[in-house]
Amino acid sequence: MALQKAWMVLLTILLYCGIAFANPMIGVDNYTYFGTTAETITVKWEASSGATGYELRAYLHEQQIYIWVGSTPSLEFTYQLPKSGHYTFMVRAVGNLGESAWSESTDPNVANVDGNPRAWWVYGHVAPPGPIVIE
Amino acid sequence: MPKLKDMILTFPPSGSPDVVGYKLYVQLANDPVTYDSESWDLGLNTSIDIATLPGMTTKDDIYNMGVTAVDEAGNESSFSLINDVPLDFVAPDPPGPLSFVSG
Repeated sequence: MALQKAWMVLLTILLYCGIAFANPMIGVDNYTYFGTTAETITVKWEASSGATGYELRAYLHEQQIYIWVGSTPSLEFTYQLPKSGHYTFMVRAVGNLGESAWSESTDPNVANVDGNPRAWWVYGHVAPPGPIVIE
Repeated sequence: MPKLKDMILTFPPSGSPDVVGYKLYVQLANDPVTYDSESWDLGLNTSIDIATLPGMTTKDDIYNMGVTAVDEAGNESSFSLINDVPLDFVAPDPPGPLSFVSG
C-alpha cells in the first residue's frame, strides 16, 4: 500500500513537472512578426499548458549575443529594439516549478506579416551627422 | 609632386550609438548628391583634409557634398549636405626650365 502510494506521488510529480516544463509551441505558423515598424517588433506564440507566463530573449546576430527581452503572462510581446541589427527571438514558458527550455529561434526565412513573407531583419534608425563645415 | 592646399571638412558626429563609420559623397553641383555619387569611407573621423582623399587631385569645379553615418548592421543614414563647394586641387603647371644668364 505504501509502495503504491509512493508510486502515485511520483507519477503526480512527474506529470506536474512535465506540464510545467513543457516548451511553448513555437512554429513557423504560429510565431509571427507583425506590426513591425522601424524600431519595434511584436512576436507571438501559442500557449503552453501549465505555463503561468513567458520569457523572451533575442539574438543580435551582428554582435552574436543574447539580449533579454522581457516577460509577460500574455501570448505576445512588443519589443523596442535597442539598436539596429538582425534579430531572431526565442521564448520559454514559466510554470510553478521553473521554466521550460528556450524554444527554437524564430525562422528568419519564413517570418511573415499577416501571412505575407517579409525579411527577417529589422532596421533601426541611423541619425545622420550634423551640418558640414568646410574651412 | 604638387603641394595641394588644405581643405578641412568637419561635422558633428551622428547621435546613434552604433555608428561604425562615415561616408563622404561628392557630386558635380548641377546634380544632387545620391548614394550612387562618388564616395569615400572616412572611418570614424569627423574632421578630414579632403585634399588627401584618393582621386581629389582631379577635382577642379563646383561640387555638392554629403556625409552619411553607417551603423554596424550596414544601414546608412540620410545625408548631411553642403552645396556649391568650389574644389580646386589641380595644381598649376610648374614654371619652365631654369636657366642662368650671365651679365
